[in-house]
This record gives sequence, C-alpha cells and structure tokens, in this order.
Amino acid sequence: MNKTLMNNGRGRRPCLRWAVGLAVLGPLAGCDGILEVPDVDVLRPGQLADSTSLPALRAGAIFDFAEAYDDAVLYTGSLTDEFYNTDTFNTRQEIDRRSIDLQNPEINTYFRNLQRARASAELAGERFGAASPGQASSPQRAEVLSLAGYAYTLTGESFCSKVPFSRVLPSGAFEFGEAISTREIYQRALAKFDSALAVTTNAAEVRLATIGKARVLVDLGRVQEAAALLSAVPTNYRYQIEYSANTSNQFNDVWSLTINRKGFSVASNQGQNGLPFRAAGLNTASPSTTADPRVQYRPLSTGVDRNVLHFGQQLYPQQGSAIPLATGAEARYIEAEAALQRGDLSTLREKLNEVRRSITGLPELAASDIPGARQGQVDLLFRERAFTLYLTAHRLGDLRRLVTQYGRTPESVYPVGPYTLPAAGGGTTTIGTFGNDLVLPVPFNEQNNPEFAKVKGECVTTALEPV
Amino acid sequence: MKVYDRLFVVLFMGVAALIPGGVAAQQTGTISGVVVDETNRRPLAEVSVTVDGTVRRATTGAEGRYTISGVPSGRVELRASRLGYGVRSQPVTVVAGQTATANFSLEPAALEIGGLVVTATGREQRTRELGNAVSVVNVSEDVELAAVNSTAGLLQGRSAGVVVTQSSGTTGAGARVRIRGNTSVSLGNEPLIIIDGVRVSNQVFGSAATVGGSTTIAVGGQTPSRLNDLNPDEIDSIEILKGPAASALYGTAAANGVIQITTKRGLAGQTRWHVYTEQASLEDVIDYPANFAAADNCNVVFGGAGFCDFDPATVISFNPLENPATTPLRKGNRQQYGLSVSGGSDVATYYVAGEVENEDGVYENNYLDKITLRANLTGRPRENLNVRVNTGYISSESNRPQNDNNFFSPLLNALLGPGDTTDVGAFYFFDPKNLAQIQVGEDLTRAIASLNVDYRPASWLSLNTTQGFELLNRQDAQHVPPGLPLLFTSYVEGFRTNNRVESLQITSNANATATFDLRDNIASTTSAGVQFQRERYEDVRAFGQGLTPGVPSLAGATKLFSANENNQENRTLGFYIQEQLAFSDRLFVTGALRADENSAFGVETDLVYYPSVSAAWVLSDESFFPADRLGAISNLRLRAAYGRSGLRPNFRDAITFYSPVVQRINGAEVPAITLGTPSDVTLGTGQPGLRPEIVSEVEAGFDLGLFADRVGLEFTYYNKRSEDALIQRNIAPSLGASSARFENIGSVRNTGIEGAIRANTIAHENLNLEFRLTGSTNENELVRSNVPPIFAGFAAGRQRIQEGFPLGAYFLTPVTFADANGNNMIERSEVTLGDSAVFQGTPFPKREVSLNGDLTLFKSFKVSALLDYKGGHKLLNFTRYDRCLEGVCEELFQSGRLEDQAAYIAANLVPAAQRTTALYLEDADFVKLRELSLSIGLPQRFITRFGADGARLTLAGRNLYTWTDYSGFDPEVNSFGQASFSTADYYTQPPVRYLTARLDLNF
Repeated sequence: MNKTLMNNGRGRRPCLRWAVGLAVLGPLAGCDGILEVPDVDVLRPGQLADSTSLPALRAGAIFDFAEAYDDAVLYTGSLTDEFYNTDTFNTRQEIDRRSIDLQNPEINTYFRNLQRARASAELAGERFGAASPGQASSPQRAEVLSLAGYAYTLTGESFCSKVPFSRVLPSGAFEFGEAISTREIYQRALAKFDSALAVTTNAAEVRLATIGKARVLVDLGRVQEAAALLSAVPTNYRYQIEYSANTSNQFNDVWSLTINRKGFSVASNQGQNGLPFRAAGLNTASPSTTADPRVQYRPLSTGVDRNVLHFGQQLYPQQGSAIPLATGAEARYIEAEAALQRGDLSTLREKLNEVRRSITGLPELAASDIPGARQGQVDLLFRERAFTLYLTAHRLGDLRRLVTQYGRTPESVYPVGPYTLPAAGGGTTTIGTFGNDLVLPVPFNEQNNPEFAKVKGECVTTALEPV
Repeated sequence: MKVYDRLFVVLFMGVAALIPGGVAAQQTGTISGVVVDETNRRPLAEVSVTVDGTVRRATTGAEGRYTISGVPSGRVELRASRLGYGVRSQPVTVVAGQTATANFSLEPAALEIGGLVVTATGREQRTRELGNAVSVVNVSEDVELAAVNSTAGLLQGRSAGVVVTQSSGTTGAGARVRIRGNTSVSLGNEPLIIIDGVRVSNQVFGSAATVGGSTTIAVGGQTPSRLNDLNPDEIDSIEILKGPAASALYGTAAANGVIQITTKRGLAGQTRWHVYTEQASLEDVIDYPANFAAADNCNVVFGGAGFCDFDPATVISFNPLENPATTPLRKGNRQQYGLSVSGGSDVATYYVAGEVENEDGVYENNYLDKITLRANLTGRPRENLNVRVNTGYISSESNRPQNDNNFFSPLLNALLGPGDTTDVGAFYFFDPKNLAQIQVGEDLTRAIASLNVDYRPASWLSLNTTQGFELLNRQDAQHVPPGLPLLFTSYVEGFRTNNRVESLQITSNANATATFDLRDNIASTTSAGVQFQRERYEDVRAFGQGLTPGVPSLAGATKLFSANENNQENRTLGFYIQEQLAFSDRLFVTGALRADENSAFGVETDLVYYPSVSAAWVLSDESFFPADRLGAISNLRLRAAYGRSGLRPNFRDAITFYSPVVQRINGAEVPAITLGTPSDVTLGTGQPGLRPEIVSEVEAGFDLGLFADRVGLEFTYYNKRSEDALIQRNIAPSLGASSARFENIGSVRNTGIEGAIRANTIAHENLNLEFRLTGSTNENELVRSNVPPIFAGFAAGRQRIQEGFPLGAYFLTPVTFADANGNNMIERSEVTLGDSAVFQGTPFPKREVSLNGDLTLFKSFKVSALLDYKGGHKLLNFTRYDRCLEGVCEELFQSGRLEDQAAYIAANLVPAAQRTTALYLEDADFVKLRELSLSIGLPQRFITRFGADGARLTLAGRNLYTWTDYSGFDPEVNSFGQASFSTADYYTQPPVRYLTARLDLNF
C-alpha cells in the first residue's frame, strides 16, 4: 500500500536517546519510526506537484465552484424577488427579508465557498501553467481560469463594495488581502477571462470565457464593448455546472432546499416590485399553454415551516440537475441591451426573439410588444433576462445595475413594504417588513483578516456604489 | 515487526530481563489475622493489609480474615487500611515456617490521609505523602446501597470539583463530566480515563471529535458516554486526580484530570458468590404544557402589532404529551442480574463476574441491552513477584430516538403541535408513532485487558510494568424504513446509514523505583519510567436510500449508495523521572519531570516537558505541634503542589491536506480533490508549528482531623491556567481555505476552592450517622485568545468564546420593557433594546454543593440520601422560545403576560441585527434530591434457608425531586449533549425518575 506517513521527523531525534537508555530500552535506541503514523485517506500538497494530478485539480476546481454556485442561486435569488422563504431557519428568512445579520451562517458559507472556488481555480490554473507547455495552453487551463473569473464576478455581484481576497502561501502562512471595491473585483475577473482567452482557441472554452468577460463588462457599464465580443457565440451554447445524485456532496442544493426540503419557494410579485415569476410561469402540475415555460414550478402543499404555501421550482427537479453558468441566451441579451442603449429597437426585438425561438412554447415578441417609452423598454429587457436566466444567479446583478446604471431607486426595484407570505390556510401572513439590504455583507468571520478588520465599516449593504 | 510492536515487546522484556533466573529462596513465614470495626467489633471486609517494603499483601474477606504467606522472616511492619477508616500499623515478628497472628481494630475516620492511591509510577503511595488532593470514591457501597445505575452516576455529587451533568433522560445517553472547570477551548474537556492502568476511550461526539467520538450519528443531547459502558458493579474504587498538579506524570493527555478506575480483585480465602438483581421503573414526571392556536393564526402579540384581529373566543388547545391517546411517553423499566465469584489463596486469587442488563426507556424505540464480563486474576509466582491479569468484556445494543433539534424528535413534534387533533394527529410534522419506527442504534463490543507485573528484585528496588489494550468495535446505524408518512422525499423512500468503527488503544508502561535512606530521618524514593500510547481509529461508513420494504439492511438500498473510510492514529512516547524525599515520615517533597513526543505535534515542535513539584507536611506529627493545647485536632496536614500537563492536537490539525471527492463532468463521475474535509471544510489548513496545549496548576490546602478523626475537613485552593491553548480559530473566508484551523493562541484560567466535611456524628452500636458535605467553586475565564469572539450554541442564543469572559459565555442584547399605555399588553414600541450584545452569564455551574447522609439503625437498616446543588449559571430556554416562535405557547394567548410578550417581540419582531433571546435566558440553579435509598440487611434466620451468608434488600429512588426557578422542564438538560460549550434546552428529554429495588445475596 502506498501510505502517506505523517513523518514529522520526531522519531529520529537523538534527544530521545537519553531517556530511552534511562528506561532500560537500549535495543530501541534511536526510536526510528515509533511516532510515524499512516495517513491513507488524504493527499498532502506535495503529492499534487506533478502533472498526473492536473485532472484531479481541474475536477476539484469545478467541484468547488459547484459548491458555491448553488449557494449563489439560493441566496441571491432569496435576496431578490426570485424566491420567498418557507424554511424554519430564521437565518434563511432574514436573507429573504433583506435584513441580514453579519453572523448569518448561510452567507458565511456562501462567501467562503465562493472564495474556495476562486482559490481552487487559481491554484489549478497555476499548476497547469507550471506544467508542460501543452498543459499551460490547454482548454482545461482556460476552463479553470474562467471559473476563477466567474467566482470573482459572482463575488462582485453578490457582496458589498469592500471584499478582500487572500491566499495561503505554500509555506502555510497566510497572506491577507486588502478589501477592494466592486469595480476592482470586476477588473480582476476581467483579467482572469482575458488569461483564459489567451491560452486556448478551443471553441467551447473561448465561449465560456467570452460570455464571462462580456458579463463583467456589462457589470462595469461597458455594454457596447461587451456586445461586440459575442457574435461568435451561438444562442444554443450552454456551459453547465453539473451536479449528481452519486454522492451527497454532489447534490444540487437548489434541489435540496426547494424540493427535498421545502424551504425556498418560487415567488410572485414579491414585495410590490417583484416580477410575477409564479403568476406568469408554468405550473407543471396543471400546465397552461399561455404560461411562460422559462419559470416552472409545482405546488408542494406547505413549506417546511408548515405555515406558508410552497411552490417548488422545477428547473432543477433532481439532485443531479445541472445549473447553466454561461449561455448563448445571455450573449443575446447583452447584444439586445447594447441595441437598446443605441436606440436600435429592431435589433433589441430580434435579439430577444432569438432567445425566445430557442425555447419551446414561448411566442415571439411582436413589434407592438416593445414599449414606446425608454423605461418600458428597459423593464422589458430586464424582465426577459429575469425569466430566461431565472435561478442562475443573475437577478441580483441586474437589480444592482438597474440602480447604478439605469437610475432607478432601490425602493423601485427591490422587494419592499410588508413582508407578506401566502398562508397555508388561505390568505396571507405578514411578519414585519422588508429591510434595506441591497447586497450581501462580508460575513463576520472575515474580521479574522486584519486587513479587512480595518475597513469593515465600509462594507455597506444598504447603498450601492457606482462601478 | 513493526516499530511499535518492537517497543511493546521490549517493554515486556526489559522488565522480564531483570528478573533473575533463580532468586535465592529466603526463609519465610506467614502472617494471618482478623480486622474488625473498632466501634461495633464487626468484621471488616476489603481491608488492604500490606507488609511494608515488599509486594506481600492480602485483602480481608467478608469475615474480616486475611493471610499473607511468604513473608521474609524477621521483624516487619504490617499496615492495614480501608477507605473510611484510619490506617493502623503494627510490627510483627515472623519466624520461618511459622504463622504469626496480627489482628487489627480500625476506627472509622472522616479524614482519609492514611489511604493508598495508585500513582503514575505504577506503585501505591500513601495519601499523606501526596502534595495534591486526591478524591477516592467508595464504589462498592454506592452501587449496592444507592442503586447507582451508571458509572457517571458514581461520580455525581461525590467529589468536590467534579461536576457531572446529565444532559438527557434518554436511556443510553451520556453525561458531561468536568473536573475543575473547562480547560480547553477547542479540544475535549473530558478527563482521561484509566482502567487498571490502561487508557480507554472517553471522547464525545462533536466538533473535531466527530471522527473518533462516542458515536458517528448525531443524536443531539442523547450522545452516549463511553464512560457509561462500564459496569459499576465491577469497580472497586475510583481515584480522581483533579488537575495537572496531580497528573503531571501522565503527560500529554491529562490536563483535564484523570479518573483512575480499579476493578475488583479476588480475596484470599474461601470461594465467595455474590448474586444480585435490580428491578426498576422509569417514569417521566414532567408536567408538559399544552399547545395553543386561534383563528387566523392570530394571538395577543400579533393582534397588538396589527397583523391580525385576535379573537380570544377562538382559542383552542391540546396537550399531546399528557393525553394517553397521543403521548409517545410510556413507563420504562430496567432489569439487571449479576453474578460474581471470587476467592483464592495468598498465592493466587480470582474474581469472575458477569452481568446482564436491560433498560427500556420512556420511548418505544429507546432501549439498552448490555452484557458485561470480567475475569481478574492475581498471582505470586515468586515471593518477590506479583502478576495481575485484568480482563473485561462489554457487549451492548442500544437504540435512541432522534430527540432534540431534529425533525424526528418526538418531543419537538409534540410540543409544536397545532393545538388540535385534526392535523397530523396533533403533532408538528410527524406523529411519534411513526417516528418510533426509526432506529438509531448502536451495537458495541469492547474488550479491555491489562497485565500488571510488580517485581521487587531487592528490598530497595521495585520494577513494574503495565501492558494492556482496549479494543472497541461499534456499529452505529440509522434506519428509516420506507413508506413512513414523512415530509421529505428522501425520508419517504427510506434510508439507512451503517457505520462500522474500530478503535484500538495500546498502553505500554515500564517503571523502576529505588528507595533508600539518605540519612536516618531522610528517605529517598527515585522513580523513572517510559510510557508509550498508541491510539488507532478506523471506521467505514456506508449509506443507501430507497430501501426495499422489509429489508432492514443496506442490502435493501436501491440508490444513492455512498461509502467512506476514516483512518487515524496517534502515538505518544513519554519519559519521566521523579524524586521524593521523606523527612521523618512527616514532610514529603516530590519533584518530577516528564518529556513527551507525539505524532500530532507540528513538524517544528520538539520535546515537550511537564515538570511538577509538591510538598506535604503532616504537621500534627511534629513534636512541636501543641497537641495538648489543640486537643480537638487529631490530624493536620498541609499540602501544596505545582504541575503541568498537556493536551495534544488532533490527528491532522498540524498539516494541510486535500480530500478526494468526485465531480460529474460531461456526464461522467471524475476523481477530484478539495482542500480539507469535504462536507464542512472545518479543517485542512494546518499549522506546522502546532504544539500541545500546556496547562499549569498550583494547588494548596490542608486536611484537618478533629475529635480523633471523627470529623474531617479538607480544603483546597486551585489555580489552573493553560498557555498555548489550542483554539480552533475561524480563519478569514477570503483565504479560500478551510473555515478554521488550530493555533496555539490562548490562555484559559480556572480558579476555585474545594472543601469537604466528613463527620461520623453518631457512632453507636445501634445508631450510626455519617454525613459528607462537599462543595466547590469555579471561576473560568479566557484570559487571552488573540482572535475575535468564536460563537457556539444556537445562532439566536449566542454563546461566545471571548477574551475576558468565561468559555461559552452567553452574550445577548439586553431588553427592557414597560406597559407605557397601560393597556395590559406590550407592543413593539414599549420594548427597548440595548445597543449590542453584552455578557449575560455562564452556562456552567460556578458553585456546587452535595450533601450525602447515611443513617444506620440496628446495624441492618441504612438510609442514604444525596442532595445535589449546582448554581451560578444560566440556561437558554430555547424550547420556550421556539414554541412561542411557532405560535403555540400559552403565553401568546393570554393578556397580561407582559414579559412573555416582550420576550417574543424582542426575539422575533425587530430587525435581524437587533433580535435577542435575552428574556429566554434563565437562571439554572437547582437542588436535586438525586438519591434516596433504604437498605435492609435481611435477618440471618431468613437467609440461611437459602444457603446464603448475607442478604440485603435496597429500595432506592433517583432524580426524585428538583427545586428550581427555571421555567423549563429541567435545568440540567442540554440539547448539545456533552459538547464542550454549546448549551441549550431544546426539546431534550429531561432526566427520568428511577425507582429501584435491589437484592444482594452472598454465599
């Protein structure tokens, strides 16, 4: 058996010999190996140094990203109008109520998982880069670099504008990063996507990086520049993060918390400003030809709290349902947004319909469906994005952009007013009101980073900084 | 041969090699005699009679007789000692080939400084020589006269500074044992357990102990204690070393104190049979509250907040726990049958015992079946050589319901019911009748064996070795049968977890002690030794879902198969040297140094040293002691001790590692790796410089005997402080690493006093009254941590590990309220919240007092009682909080319950950052009538009909009454089981009342 020994060298130290002799143990002088113990269940960093470990490092980067990505769907969807909460955990409900405690364990987990995904992808990128030239310019390296870019992007879209990025040095020492602004986070994401594009010409990985780059450029307000990148991305392109029923670590947690545990329910018109996801969406238990198939749900009696009606999303109906990360649809919407900003309503409609044509049962928009007023056109675009990209962790970034790029007030785009839920016995139950959080806080545990502790007060969740 | 095997053999051979092939036969004789109680002249059993300076010893039988053969001819000093009696010595002249007679008459003594205790050097030492306090529990009497049903129960209220908390009343649940407070922030706080010289398992479930703990399946407050596997009837005595001042020679394991258990041995003389049985009933005597509801899910508070219109006329209620048709509670019962046989000669003795135990708890799916066997042999193959072989075997099968914070909890489901019987049979999620089909079982076999060899090659030199092991095999299984009407898909399909665990502990010690006189009045005792400890843990965990109906094994699983394996090992090698100087047998000064290496230390860590020094002075033996002026003082001993011991890091705490996982890519499952532990990423980013946690302790005190030692006072002050405390600190998530890692960054202090008063107030032939009052205080503080607060417990009931405060301190935002508008109702505007969370109290008792009384009438009737007080601490009544949160508590439906309304508003109807459960935090002081028993010695004329020599019938009650202001069901419960700090009352089964009848027969 190829055992890893936890050989800390202590068994060979001559300092023990005096004691050995003292204890009538002459035959054991030297004590070689007495304190060596086998460690067969894990790998040590030194075992990952050669190129044979690269496939596992790449798969590990995807695994870590998957761990974070379903969290992103759940918690950004909860903070926005995609979900309402039917769980028994107050800590989940407070995200939905936009009143989040700094010590919220769900946000702590999401933030940590995103950072692990970023670090894991960066490590894999470094190891590929340090391997043979072939590995350094492989599609796999481009893929993990893109995942690092997406991890930065999701961090920027989800959290306040003071987020640190730190790293563990090979020696085991910690190198704490300073908190950087949302704009700087997006710039780091751009750099990752550019690195990915620089190392491969493989179409799938190029599209993955291109869509990511375009998404960040849109976040930065550089919509025209973003749209110009996307012509080569077909509408039916889709890069998915895969989950599996194979082991519990691989479960899609959106399935776990919406269907297996009925804790997050499909919302409709949440908090006055919410979109009518459920009202317009497709009830798979009672299908209607006029329903929008991009949002699918099924009434599942009550939530796990037993007091509130629950509607389980049906986009990810199994433990192993994959979640799209980058799609051709998003590319078309970026092109549509660029057209909108140029005032090219014809292209706007065409791009929106390109996506609609790719979805069975979804009618095209007629010219008359394009509002005449600018505000209505923006609403239409964001509504189309919201329905097509439902439960893919795009909605929070969109709400932020409506405020920072389109001049809307937070009170006009985020859920506001009484926190009202559909009661199990009919009618509604109101528990207080929505809070003021617009983004997620960097969790309390980050205060173990002395660099962040200096500026923790600058992580503001109730106001958005222009990027 | 593996290295550790070589060490094991060498430790054996090292001692064996020193045993000469033929020791010259000496001229020897025999000593025999009878030992009686001076008060009533009755024979005394279990008196240890030893020949000073030799391995010659014997223990008296039931008739008080002893015989020691092979005693070197000439004048020897003979010593008789027994717990609860003063030590007596007398010189005896032995003539070769003849039998000398030496009878003893022992006087009951409340002060026990003459007793013997076993030390880490492997030899017995007189208590008067020790500079530290040692508690000795007289097990035999407590088991028989108080019908104590667990080993943890034996420690409860019987030793100052030892706090035993029964976290749950579920059969098979364990107890939290703390000695002189909590020492460690992130490692375990359980004491080290040693049985007949062999270290055994004592870890609990939780945190880093998840691997290597007492169970692999979380069951909340019902986590078992491995201490309770042991059969109290097999135990002869328990010695408790309370801290590093006493336990320094045990090295890197003993910072939380040491519990040394000595099992029974055979007595020379005729064969003795002991047969006993216990029959007991178990009952939950709590008055549980009803569940309430009203129209529109409204209540007084919601109505007051304007959420709805509250109509008192629509209020309904139902109490599923008190209704016979719905309650899952039942009367439990317990049976125990035991048999032991012992006997032998002064050359060899034997003790063989077996016991069968069955306990059915107060839930249908709660039981414990246990068989214990023991065979202890002693032999004296040579005149200067003693050999003891101790073997114990335990086999148990138990099942516990998933109570506490769990969907399957019968208490949770009953106490959150909807207020009527129309919905799920009046329960919250599930009807407990269905939950009773869920099994969380444990099958355990445990073997503990030791070989002790004492060899005295010369009068001044003794060698001893202990070689032993503990092998523990366990199967932890959770079985949810398919088809139950449970809420989640995975539950409806049924699933099974089956975890097979094997744990091996090997203890290998060798010691040498040389004794000689430096001068006429100065005796020197020098000891040195080596100790090796190997702990190996292995488990294989398997899971499957979609069970085939009727197949209660993983063979019936149809999907979601998973398997995992955990292998861990830890080794410690330690060496020590100790020197004791005795001045005129009155002043004893001891100094020692132990050096340890351990496989879990960081690569940069070298040998770790544990020094100790102590002094004991029997002042009353000094010629200048004014005994004539202080006539009441019969004994006075001063003592002081300083020592250090440690706690080692866990297996992988010092290293960085990656775990194998699997990721689906393009539809195929692909091997992958992730940093740290995959499920919770708690660890994985180790620190190479990790050192053990070092705990230093100073203690000082005195033992005072009054009125010919009929009254004994003990007093001890202790100050224990850890340096380099290992704290599992949360690390910044932005590192993209594990969520925490162990670092040597803290310091924890425990200070307090311990006192005991023992008195034989009335000592008459037909009336004897003894009482024992013990008490202690503990002030615990995290002196230094260098990290932001670490949180424990429930999120809404924050406990903190924070510098300057006790470990696990409750920190909650304070609340005040006033009915300003006088409408007999509290509204949101009438509740004032503090700015931030402030210290509200500690979850651990700061003081404890126990009063134990024994009244004996006409030699045959004995009444014993144990009152147990614990106080100065708080408990979060999360059950009350949650019942109100869910809108079923009565308080929400009655006007005028102002504090309850304010508590609800502060906990629920304010912004998240301000919410506080401060008004659900309650004083948890209590006094419990823990034990009350009546023991009757049956008349001789009656028992002789059955051929018995003696018979005793005991009627005992346990957990009989509780005096407390705590509003919950019991102030002692903890839904986090034996977790180090997390503490809350959350649907935990309160301790149940035991009424027991026990019959002991001796033949």
